[in-house]
Amino acid sequence: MSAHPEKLSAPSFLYLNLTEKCNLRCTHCYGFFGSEKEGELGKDDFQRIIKELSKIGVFYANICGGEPTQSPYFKDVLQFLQEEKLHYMLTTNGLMSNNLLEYIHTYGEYLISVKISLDGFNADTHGVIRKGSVTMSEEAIFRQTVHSIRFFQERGYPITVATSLHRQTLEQLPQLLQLMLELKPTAWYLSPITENGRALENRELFGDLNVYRDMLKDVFEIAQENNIIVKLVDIVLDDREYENFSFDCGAALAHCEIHADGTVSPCTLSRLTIHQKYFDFPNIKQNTLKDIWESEPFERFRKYQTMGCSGCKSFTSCNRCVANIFQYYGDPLQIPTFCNSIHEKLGVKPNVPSKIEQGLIQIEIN
Amino acid sequence: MKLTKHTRFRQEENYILLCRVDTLQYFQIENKWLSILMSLKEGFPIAHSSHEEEVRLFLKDLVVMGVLENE
Repeated sequence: MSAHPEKLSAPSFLYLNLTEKCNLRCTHCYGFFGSEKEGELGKDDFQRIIKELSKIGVFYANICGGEPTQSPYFKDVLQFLQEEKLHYMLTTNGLMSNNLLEYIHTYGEYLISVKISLDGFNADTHGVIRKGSVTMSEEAIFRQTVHSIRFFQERGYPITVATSLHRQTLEQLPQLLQLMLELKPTAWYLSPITENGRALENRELFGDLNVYRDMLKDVFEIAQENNIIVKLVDIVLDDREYENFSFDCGAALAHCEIHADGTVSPCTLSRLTIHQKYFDFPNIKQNTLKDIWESEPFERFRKYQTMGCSGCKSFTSCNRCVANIFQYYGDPLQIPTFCNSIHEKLGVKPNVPSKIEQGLIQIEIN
Repeated sequence: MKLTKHTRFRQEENYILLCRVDTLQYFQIENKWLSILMSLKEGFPIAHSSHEEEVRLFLKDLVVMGVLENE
């Protein structure tokens, strides 16, 4: 009997991407965020969407981008959320004026947490991957980011610091840990840079996580001892963890993402990495979220979460990363790339490296 | 007693999904408790039932889970 999780009647939460506009041009960006995308959602769209989220019982929205505060409708969205009493998280780079910080606080009744990116312990390390900023120095970016973290923290909002582990950050993990112990966020998410978007053009940023595994273990333990919830995203510290490895993702089952142009996909990656020839995800400008949740592309995505991977020991407890499979192979029967290296432990046949993995072709993007 | 401001719930096919959004904790509750949760949400007194002890224990569990608070 299959133990694959069933979809909820509607998303329990979702990402609401306000704009692809960003005031930075991070070299590790998983998208190509920077400029506003053609046909982005407008004020009326956001009002209608937030009303529907409330009506169908979505528990909370993660307001994100690009940089969501760069949307001309950011303030309107906060008002709509307040009117509908819909809880929300804010994912931001923290670069905003004091007036805007105060505005968010004014509409903070339903703000449940703020997630801010911080990738290094000083201006050099944090700023080195944010070179594209045209208006701020690396020093100013770092100072403002830390200021925003403290602003929200002093007002009682739980803070999550999100750190992308680029090469220099990995080298300076102990110093970053010291800064975290000083800032004391509620949670600290550490994730490797992914092979998507602008990061593909900046291969020098990628560090070998295996080299820093012991250091990551120490950082993990010390931060936890100091009451910081540490989450290592897609990082396995101990080989023994592979014995029970399974991919637990709620894409299309419990959550989805509304993109800045209104396209709705099961997750961020599926929109960014799956070519339109495989999945033509619906747009919320012409559909309700409820209809999209039941649509053919979403149902097919769910079907692909429960097929393939023949022989895998974790099959019934895993719902596979469909986005990864289509990004690299375009074939739903293949196994995700991150299972290739542990295929013996899982009991599955490895994939032949894709042309992308061999560096022969670039990843197709929409 | 009342649901906390940060408690949200809805009915799924076979259970009630309940979430404390302030801590992002999810709970699955039997469908039979829907009327009680609705009463709490609407601020109505909970109707007496023939299973008062069971109701009392359920409400106690909700307090422990942090989804219910005293007014």
